[in-house]
Amino acid sequence: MALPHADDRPPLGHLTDAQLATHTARGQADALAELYHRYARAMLAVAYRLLQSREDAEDVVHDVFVGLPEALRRYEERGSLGPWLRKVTTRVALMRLREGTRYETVPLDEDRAATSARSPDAVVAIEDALRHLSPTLRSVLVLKEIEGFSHAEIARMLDISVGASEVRLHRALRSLRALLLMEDKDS
Amino acid sequence: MNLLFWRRSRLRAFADGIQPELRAVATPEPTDELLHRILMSRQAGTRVILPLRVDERGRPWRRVSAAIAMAVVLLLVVLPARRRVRDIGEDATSPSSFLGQMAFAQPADGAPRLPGVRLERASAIRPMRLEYTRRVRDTSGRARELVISLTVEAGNADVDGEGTPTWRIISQDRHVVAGQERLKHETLYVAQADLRLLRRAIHVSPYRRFQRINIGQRFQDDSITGRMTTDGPSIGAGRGIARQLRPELTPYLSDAFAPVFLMAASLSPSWKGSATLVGWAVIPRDVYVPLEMRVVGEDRIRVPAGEFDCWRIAIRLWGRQVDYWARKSDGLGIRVYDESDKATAGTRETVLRSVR
Repeated sequence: MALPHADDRPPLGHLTDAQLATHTARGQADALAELYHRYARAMLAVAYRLLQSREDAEDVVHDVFVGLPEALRRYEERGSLGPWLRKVTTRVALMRLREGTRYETVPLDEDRAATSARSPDAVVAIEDALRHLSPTLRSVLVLKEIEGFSHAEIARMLDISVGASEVRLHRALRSLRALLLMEDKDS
Repeated sequence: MNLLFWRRSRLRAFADGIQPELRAVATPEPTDELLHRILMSRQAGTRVILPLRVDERGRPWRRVSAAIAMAVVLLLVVLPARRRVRDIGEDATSPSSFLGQMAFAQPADGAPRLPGVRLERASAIRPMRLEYTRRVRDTSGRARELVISLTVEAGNADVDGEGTPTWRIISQDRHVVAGQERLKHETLYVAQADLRLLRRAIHVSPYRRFQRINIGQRFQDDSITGRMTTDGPSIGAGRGIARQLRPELTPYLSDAFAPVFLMAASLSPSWKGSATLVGWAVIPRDVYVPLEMRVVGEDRIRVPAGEFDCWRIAIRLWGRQVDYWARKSDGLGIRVYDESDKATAGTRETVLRSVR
């Protein structure tokens, strides 16, 4: 089911992120819902890219929003809320990845993939190849090449050295290229 | 050195070249259901501690303190909790069902006495939203109510990797005990053509001492595989699920499927058949619940959703009998009444409150 249109949303759309964060920290459900409307799409995207499972990605976003009111009481970062939420989501998704609690991969609906594809064949091939990468390599690839984190940030999130992050990205790209070449030959 | 640089720059060019496709890979859309789940979890008192780490590099004494603190937490909390996870794996069993009182599923021995239900009207299943109310009255006459909502909608076209068109059935039970909301959420995928089970996910919160238990199951050929995990006070490693589904016990259904299952059967005054309810399958005695069903009469039933002509069906499960009323026009579950434990536990009645 799609989200309601902006007109159907609770009347908090005019509040700034900072005001919403304050209301959410006080436990106001409608403020939490408005933050969900603003940021859930981006959070779900990063979680899904890391976990490659819709259920797990939804569980991660669920856990982040459930923990958000308490977390916002401790939120001292001066940056904007969106990137911070994306970072927290990434950390929770990585925790889940490490715990190995992931269910089996279920691709998204084909029609949905088609609507977002730039060149559908290539996108599907890359999606397949990503799914075949090991989680350790995929994490670095997703965080660096799609989410735009620096190697230093990735190193902190994964608790590895900057050098290890660079090496993993190199291996991930090499594996991805090999997988895509293999697919080309098969087809 | 030059060769290394050349290789790296080629890889960088490859990375830059696939950027648009990498970013175009489809990701799920947030849904109202997820928001609802979040708000329900908050309301039920669930809390999650998020990892809000600051950059602690350059402050070694803090890192040492943190390491010591982590070690203490590990010794005092995490390790005992992991033992508890193993404990819960020994007895994690499906809770109360749409059809009957909470009980352990029993292993089915031998072939069922009745022929398996023939789901010859699979096309009768359609998108709908149902709401049921269950009233549980104990032996002292005190009653408590529970709301069950059920949604049937077209599901992912590729749940089993073969492009099978599916129905997604989402069931949610809510009730409040001692001021705390309890939630049971099941998402089930069945094949539209023959209604065989494909995949399901169950979340129950809270579950015993845990904030939540999660069951993920995949049905393939004669097997169920999957995993059980728990959330909070610690996140456990969980337990794998791998059980055989005996072919002679087909068709299989799950709790979420129960209210609409008989829509696919051709009910008549002499109709009878067997089917098997699938449990969580975490432990061997919670895999099968055999059901024997017989039409035993016809009644006109009045429930909050309206007044309907129904088949009265006697269902035997868990060694007890439950009365079930299915609407004559389409087989939809209208009422379930269980008084088999009237003297010791009271009665349970589930009625259709609304249908859209």
